[in-house]
Amino acid sequence: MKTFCFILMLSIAVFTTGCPRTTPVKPAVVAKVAEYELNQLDTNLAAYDCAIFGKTVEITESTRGKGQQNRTITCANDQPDFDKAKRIRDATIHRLIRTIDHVYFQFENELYIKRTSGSFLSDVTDIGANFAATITNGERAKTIINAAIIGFRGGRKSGSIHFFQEKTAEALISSMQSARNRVLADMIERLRKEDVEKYSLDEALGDTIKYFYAGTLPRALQELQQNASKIAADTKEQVRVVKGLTPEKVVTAAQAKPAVDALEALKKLFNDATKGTPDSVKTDARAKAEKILEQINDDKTLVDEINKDEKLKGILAKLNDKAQTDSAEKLIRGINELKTTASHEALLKGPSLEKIDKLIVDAVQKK
Amino acid sequence: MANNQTTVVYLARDLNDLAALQSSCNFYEARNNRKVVNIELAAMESDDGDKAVAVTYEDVDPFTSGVNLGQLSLEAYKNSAEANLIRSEFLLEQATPVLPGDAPDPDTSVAKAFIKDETVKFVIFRDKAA
Repeated sequence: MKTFCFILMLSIAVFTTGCPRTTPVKPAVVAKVAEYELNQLDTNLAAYDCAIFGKTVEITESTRGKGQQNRTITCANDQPDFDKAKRIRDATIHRLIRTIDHVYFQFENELYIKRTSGSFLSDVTDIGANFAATITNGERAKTIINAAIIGFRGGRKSGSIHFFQEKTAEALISSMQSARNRVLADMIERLRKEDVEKYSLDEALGDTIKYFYAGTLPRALQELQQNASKIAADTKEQVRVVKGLTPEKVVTAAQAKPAVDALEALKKLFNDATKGTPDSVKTDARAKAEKILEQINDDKTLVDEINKDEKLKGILAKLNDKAQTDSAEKLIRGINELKTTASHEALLKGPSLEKIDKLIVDAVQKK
Repeated sequence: MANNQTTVVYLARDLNDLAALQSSCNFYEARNNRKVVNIELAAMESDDGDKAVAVTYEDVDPFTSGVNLGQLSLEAYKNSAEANLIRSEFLLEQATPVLPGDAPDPDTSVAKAFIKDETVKFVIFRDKAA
């Protein structure tokens, strides 16, 4: 019977955790894509140095982890070329990111499988030993098995606490991924915005090391600890008692869209009219703003409703007074003021505001 | 509350899901040129004490403030690991944190809302301007 139980346990463990594939078959091209050899890195570093210094230079390599070693680079160009250096920096860093990602995803997969199959195996062993203790005759044998179970559970618990701090594989993986995303977000932002004088290749290489270590278990545990207490403090279950307020209307995404689109359209007009755009774009923006105003004026029902309120009437009168709207900026701000004032004080009905939103979007989209 | 701030409430029973709160906030921001600065669990002071969500908005200039009004993204989470991951994904997309309103913090930017009868925890970020 004991032999039968042992074989049964072993079979369950092997067939449920050992056989299934954990990843699809990796295409050869994936390995090729992730490949970035040391000599390729050296070539890129030399090209970068040429672009930065623009002449034959002697470089001490100690900063790049090779120990004190002087190296002379002969460059084809004799002038610094920072644009080229930026392109080399970006390409080098993106290749390194690709390589680190490849290694990380393999590690993530292995971690998940080991952690979940390890837990499963432990559960099977625990249940099996309990079962064996139940069916075994003889007090001494029962005592030995029970002692073994206690020892096994203690070891399992200790391992879980010391290595993983009792976190699940999902929690660890998502924490590693979030730590990696944070470093990557910073790097991408700096690569995009900063030139090599502000964000050098050496600094970026330092960040790739941070990126690599962000995808490790210690970093995952640190990330979990750091943010759990902060979140708990920020999301206390406090309920504010509200008095004297009328509930606001809840809208769907489709109902919100015209208002959001109208604001985007006005912002575009404003940018076209005021930022460093060619004169033709500025003129076009002014013409479109005038068209919006013209269409508001042409809608008799809308104008009647606007004129019912003194404040809105005043805004419309100001918009129609060319002396007061001598610039496209003033005209666009005036149209926006008409809309927001009507909304803040509920001076226009919903359909009228929607009509203005539509007029704005149509005018801006028109070629 | 500062003079340039306004609080509005949305009844929990009107909110079918978190997406409804997201679109309602986006609508309000775009229509009123006001940005979200706080979101709280609330109860109406009435006999039945209806559950609600109180959202505080602050006036901003849509043209020069750099705040991308009407482009909020709300994403529910269950535990801190999930919240961290969601936040980091937003950061990767160059979205910006929204809360707390006086000093938005990428390490938090979380809130709670009553949605129907449930309390939903969520991360809130503002999408990057196109």
